[in-house]
Amino acid sequence: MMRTYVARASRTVALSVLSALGGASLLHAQTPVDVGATVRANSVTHVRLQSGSVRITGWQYDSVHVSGRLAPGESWVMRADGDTMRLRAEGLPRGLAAPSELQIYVPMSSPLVVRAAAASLVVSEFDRDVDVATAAGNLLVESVRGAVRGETMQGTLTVIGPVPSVEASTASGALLVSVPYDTINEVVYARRVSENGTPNAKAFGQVVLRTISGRITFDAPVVDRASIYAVRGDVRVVTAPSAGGAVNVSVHTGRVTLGWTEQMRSRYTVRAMRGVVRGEQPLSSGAASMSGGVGTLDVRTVRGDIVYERVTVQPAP
Amino acid sequence: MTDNNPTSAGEPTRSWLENPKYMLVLAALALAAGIYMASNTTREAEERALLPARPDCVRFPGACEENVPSEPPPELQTLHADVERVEAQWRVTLEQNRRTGVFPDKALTAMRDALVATQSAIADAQFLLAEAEGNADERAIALEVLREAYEQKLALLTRAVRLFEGAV
Repeated sequence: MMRTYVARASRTVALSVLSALGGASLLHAQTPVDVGATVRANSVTHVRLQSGSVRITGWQYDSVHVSGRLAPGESWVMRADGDTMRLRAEGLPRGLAAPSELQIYVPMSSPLVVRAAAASLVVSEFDRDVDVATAAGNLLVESVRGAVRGETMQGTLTVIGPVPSVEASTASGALLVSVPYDTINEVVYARRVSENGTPNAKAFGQVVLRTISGRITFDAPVVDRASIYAVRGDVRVVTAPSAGGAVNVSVHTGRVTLGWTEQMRSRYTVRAMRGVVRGEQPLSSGAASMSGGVGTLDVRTVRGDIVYERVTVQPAP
Repeated sequence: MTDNNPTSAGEPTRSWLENPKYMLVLAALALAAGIYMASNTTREAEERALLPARPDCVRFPGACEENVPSEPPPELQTLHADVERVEAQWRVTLEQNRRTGVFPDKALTAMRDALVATQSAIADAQFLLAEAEGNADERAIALEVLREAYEQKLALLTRAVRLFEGAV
């Protein structure tokens, strides 16, 4: 008798809790958004976001369009402000269960500025400069023909090139800047160089990468000028400076891995103040063995090791 | 034959855990504790971010050596002043916007760790500079390491102010 009572009471409690949760979830449901507006040609697009997962894609029309779902507590605002089109998620999102999920199209000929608190972003297809920053969240930038500036405090930042210039930084997140599909599972494929040894891909121009404690991977057949800094993060670089170019890597405490292929030509200068230099030296490390102009690759660590690594070149998959 | 089953004598003995009243009270307490802890997380992250950084003696051993000068050498005093100015700006930014919920905990924690690392790198470089005293070549290199450590901290703080002010 008593057991039956307990069972019924438990069932009632469970159903009440489920109903309450269901009611609460209805109150905290995402809000659909599907809005658009025309914009003046060449105006700057400024996007401000709170959280969630957002794709921002450039298109050929002089208009913006936003679709998807907004987190509970957020509303969407768009307004033209002189030469700037401002798109903004207003309000603070409530709860984590229903984040914003948005697809934003903006003119690919517009310079783009994005500021986000905790959103993960994918930005692609722009002809002009892109400046994207999120305090916490992953950031992927690809297919951009202008200069790229990307920042995240805590999150992975990926820039897929080639792009004319990159300035990217993280505090604790990993930072990956590469030409697509050159490196797969740490193996470099043959498409990075042609049969005569010249790079297949267009060079990166200026590259500045900074992290405090994340891991930096810079992987490009050739770069004009690169400066790579880490305070206590590891750095892996597989590149060669163009003729007259320069690559500088500076790490306080962390390991630097210098990957090289037989086709790469650089004048290496390495110094590990309180660490060791090891690994197989590049074939072209001495200036005497090189013909024509070469760039310089200068690496310094304070308390970290420097490791040379011959990169295996495989047939393209 | 003796019946050893204590429940067979009459009403079965129930554990208090089977009592729905207690369960409801427990659930309510757990919910209240969860809400309280969640509301405190951001505040704690912001408060931690404002605390002075203690050096990381494991990765930057020189930072914890005794008698390491804390004042910058004359060559880097301007840079040091810039770092202090932007650090004050960062504290204002953080103080003005604390408890608004705008700054994600993860980012604040990352910023806090990054400040510890950059400050430790500066102290470690100060140690190397003191050690290189009397050797011009070594001093020049140590000075360059210290300059870079300051520049890293300056770049971090500048980015943080820009990013957090832009996100508000």
